[in-house]
Amino acid sequence: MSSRLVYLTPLIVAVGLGFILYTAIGKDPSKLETARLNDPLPAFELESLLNPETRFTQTALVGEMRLLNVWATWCPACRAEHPFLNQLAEQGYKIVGLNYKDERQAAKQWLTTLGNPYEFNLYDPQGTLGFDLGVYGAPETYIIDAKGFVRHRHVGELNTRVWNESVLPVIQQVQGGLE
Amino acid sequence: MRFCLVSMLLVMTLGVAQASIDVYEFSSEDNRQRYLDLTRELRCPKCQNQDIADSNAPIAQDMRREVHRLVEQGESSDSVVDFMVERFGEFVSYKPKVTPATYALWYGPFVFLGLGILVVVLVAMQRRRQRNENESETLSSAPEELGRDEQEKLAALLKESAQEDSTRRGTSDQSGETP
Repeated sequence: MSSRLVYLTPLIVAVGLGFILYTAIGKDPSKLETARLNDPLPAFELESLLNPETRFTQTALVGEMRLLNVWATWCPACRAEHPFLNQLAEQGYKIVGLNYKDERQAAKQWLTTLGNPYEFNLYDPQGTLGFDLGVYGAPETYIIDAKGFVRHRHVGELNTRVWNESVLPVIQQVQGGLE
Repeated sequence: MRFCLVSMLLVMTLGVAQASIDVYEFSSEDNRQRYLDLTRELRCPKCQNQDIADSNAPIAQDMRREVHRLVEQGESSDSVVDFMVERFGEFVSYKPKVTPATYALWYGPFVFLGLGILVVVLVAMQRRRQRNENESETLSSAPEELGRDEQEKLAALLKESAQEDSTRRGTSDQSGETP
């Protein structure tokens, strides 16, 4: 009786391991958890990219749902997603830019030539807010709800497919929760 | 040839030790040691299988800078790890905390070890039982020990045959001398 159990053990272990490994198939290991998910935006005080005299704090993102887009001129994927951001701005979405580890002049130039989809831009040359948010590669896009809480993060280029699959459902959920 | 090999190995270890080339000053030897330990215990979010001491990704550089700042501020090593986990998630630590989610990780190996020992013990016990059964079978088929009077009879028989033997040897000795 017990000997049958002994000989079954490897099978049981193999099936268990198989199940664990199977659940991991298709997961992208470079996508990390969002540590700040459902937490308020970390405190910051940063200059506006376009008007150095204006300073913004985390309260600037409270009041209504916004997208926070981390970008930089040195980031090729940011250039690729820029037309899509322009499109979103036209649709009426409020997008705040976080200009991450960049040079002011180059960033200004970028907005003049490619268009400016942003409500305003935070200038973060040292990447301090980026670090507090856990940004590990631009572009990243966050959904910040009306209370200033982080509700979603997408790492990588934003496009129609990503928008429809993972971003829009969260937006609907966030807006539905308010009404 | 051997010199070549040894120097190659030496160069390789140097490469590991000096992958990060930033220069930090420490107020105490203890702080320096804690910095070195922490940068080996924290994982780079961008280049996932490297610690931040080993990686030259910009994010790893930022993390080293923050570790240095916090250590020099007198923060405990635990709170430095907490600081990073708050921003980048549990992923960032090579030594994840013991929580229900990581029980399998921490205690799983011991469970498997216990299972392995159990299997070995069960197999050994079964083998022993089988061997005992075999032994008792061979014993029962072997002739029973002799009773007291039977032993006396045996002794008498042996004595008799020994006497016969010696007398026979005496005659044979004599016959042996005749050519």
